[in-house]
Amino acid sequence: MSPTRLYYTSLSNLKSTQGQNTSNHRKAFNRKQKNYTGGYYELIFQLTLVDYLIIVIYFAFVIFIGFLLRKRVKTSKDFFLSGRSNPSWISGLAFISANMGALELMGMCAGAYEYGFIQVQFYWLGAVPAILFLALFMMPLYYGTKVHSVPEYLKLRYNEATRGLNAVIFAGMTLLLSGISMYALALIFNILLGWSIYQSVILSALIIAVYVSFGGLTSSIYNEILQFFLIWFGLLLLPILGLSEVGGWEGLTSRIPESFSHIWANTATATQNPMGVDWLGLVLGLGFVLSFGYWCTDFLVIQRTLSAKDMEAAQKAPLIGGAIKLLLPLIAIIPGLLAIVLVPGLGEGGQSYNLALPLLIKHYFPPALIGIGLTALMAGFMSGMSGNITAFSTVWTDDIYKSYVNPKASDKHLVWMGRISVIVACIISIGTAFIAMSFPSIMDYMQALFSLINAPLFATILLGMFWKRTTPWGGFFGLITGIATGIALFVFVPVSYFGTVMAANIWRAWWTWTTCFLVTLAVSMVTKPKPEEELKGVVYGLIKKGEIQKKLPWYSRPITWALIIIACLIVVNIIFF
Amino acid sequence: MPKKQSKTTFVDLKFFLGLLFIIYGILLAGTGIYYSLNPISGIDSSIDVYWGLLMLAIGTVNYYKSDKPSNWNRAFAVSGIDRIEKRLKGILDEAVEEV
Repeated sequence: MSPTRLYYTSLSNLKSTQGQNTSNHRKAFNRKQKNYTGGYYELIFQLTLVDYLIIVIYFAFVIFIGFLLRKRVKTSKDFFLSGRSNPSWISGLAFISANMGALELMGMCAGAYEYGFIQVQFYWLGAVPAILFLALFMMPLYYGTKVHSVPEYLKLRYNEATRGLNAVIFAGMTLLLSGISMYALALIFNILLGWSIYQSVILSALIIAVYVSFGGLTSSIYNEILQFFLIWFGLLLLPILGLSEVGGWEGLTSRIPESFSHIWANTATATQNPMGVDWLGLVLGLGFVLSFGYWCTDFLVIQRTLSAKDMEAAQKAPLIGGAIKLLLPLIAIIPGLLAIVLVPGLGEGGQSYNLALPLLIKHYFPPALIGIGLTALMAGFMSGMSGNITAFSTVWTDDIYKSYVNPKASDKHLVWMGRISVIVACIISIGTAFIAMSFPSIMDYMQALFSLINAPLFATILLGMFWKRTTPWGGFFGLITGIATGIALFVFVPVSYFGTVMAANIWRAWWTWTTCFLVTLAVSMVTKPKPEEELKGVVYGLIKKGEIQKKLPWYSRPITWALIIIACLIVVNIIFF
Repeated sequence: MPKKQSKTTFVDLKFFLGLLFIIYGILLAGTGIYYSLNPISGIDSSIDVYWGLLMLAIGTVNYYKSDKPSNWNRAFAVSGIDRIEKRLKGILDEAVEEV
């Protein structure tokens, strides 16, 4: 099977097995489209010399920054936590940028093409509330305890067994996810530029290995911020040009199916909207479990906030990320809706919804801007990959190697081990990238992983942070039972039972979370809790206010920022109801 | 100490961002002007010019607000140019002394 064909079978199947809602909506709509010929879109870009130059300059810059930062990294704190020295805006941009990789941009755009504007729920319902919760309630504990990682927090709150379990599972998950990002980046090279997929995988692994192993988290954060601006400058023209062509938002909504332009209006029952999930499923599964499970427990994003210089910056970093999440639909969702009008017929003729974004770039961008647009896409994948690699390196070195293999390791040795683990992780990711190729749908596979691992972990951390009676063994058995339930549901309950793949992931997340929550409660009632002395600063009720946070003027307080974001969130939900 | 480090990070980032945007801005605007002078049907190069100038402006502001000398020195140190420069200077000084 050729790599190109492989791409179509792997990514084009994205949710293709889902209910008839979407296809019925789309078929009826496509028949009405006068300019839709049912044709096959030619995708290979005809790049000019300047486009190649732009791509080469970007990669040269990324590697060069790694070299420059090499000498600044002296201690393990520098390597794994960027010296805990970053202001809030740097940590905040890195926080959001680490999440903007791994199919985020293309996947969200494809989702908007397939499901309509309801896809924005992944940002407005599925991210912003959880990010605000993280900033206001969880950061004082994560940052205040001075831990290096989420597994280390679990050790403080629960016990070594819970930490070990989470560390091993998280390390495995990050390797699988970085492999997926690597594969996706290689596909971009392969599909858009016609490069060999094998060489592309090795090239992307090599670049990540060089810049992360030299500069650690600092290098990763620097590049994530460059990537953030590149992504915005590379893609912001799409909604501007597209909306001006179709006659603004009014013009756009008049040219797409009615159910595609609302986010709540058609969620009374699952059959009314193309996503196939009702409002309760959205709120419980996406808005609560999946969202909070990812944003409040995933070390990949939390590591960026731990690099902040003080508690104030650590709390503001997610708030900055939350504000940006409110705006992200502009470059990730609106282009998907525009593509429905401008490149109709995707998803029917064997071409994936994932091609919506690259096809729009091809549709609008002249030479040089195509280079910027493609670089933005590549940057998106690179930031996701480097995020996973740095998170793996920290958890491996701090929570596995230092804890179980070599407890007496010196700080210098740990930095060395961090660098080695980055290189090893990149090599393993090449292997997991090839594993990813064998899965029918990458996006669903990723969501399934989150529903199995992050959802139960959120119950463990939530109870641990806010209920001092939660016991160490309650946390351990709750977590392991939650994960086991998720695996059992994944293996034994067919997707057809839930209706759609999306619904299956959302409801599976809900049940794994509930199982973990109930088992943790039950075991905690019959086992011995930790003494309160050991829980000071680790459980929310046992933090002395003012001990870790200086007094700030009202306009600078995290709560004020959070309230402004909530107000904006309510407004956009009303406007696009 | 952390304050000093964060200031360094801040100016470093402005430097890198500024430099990258200046290069990209020049490339975009230059390409746009080239295609305006040598038009090809179906290519509207005016977007390249506008967007390139915007990137150039943002890049220039960031570059001038950054810590240029220290970053260039570091860049030279990494690339080895500073060692070549010192060596050349040494040879020149020796030559001057001999003369």
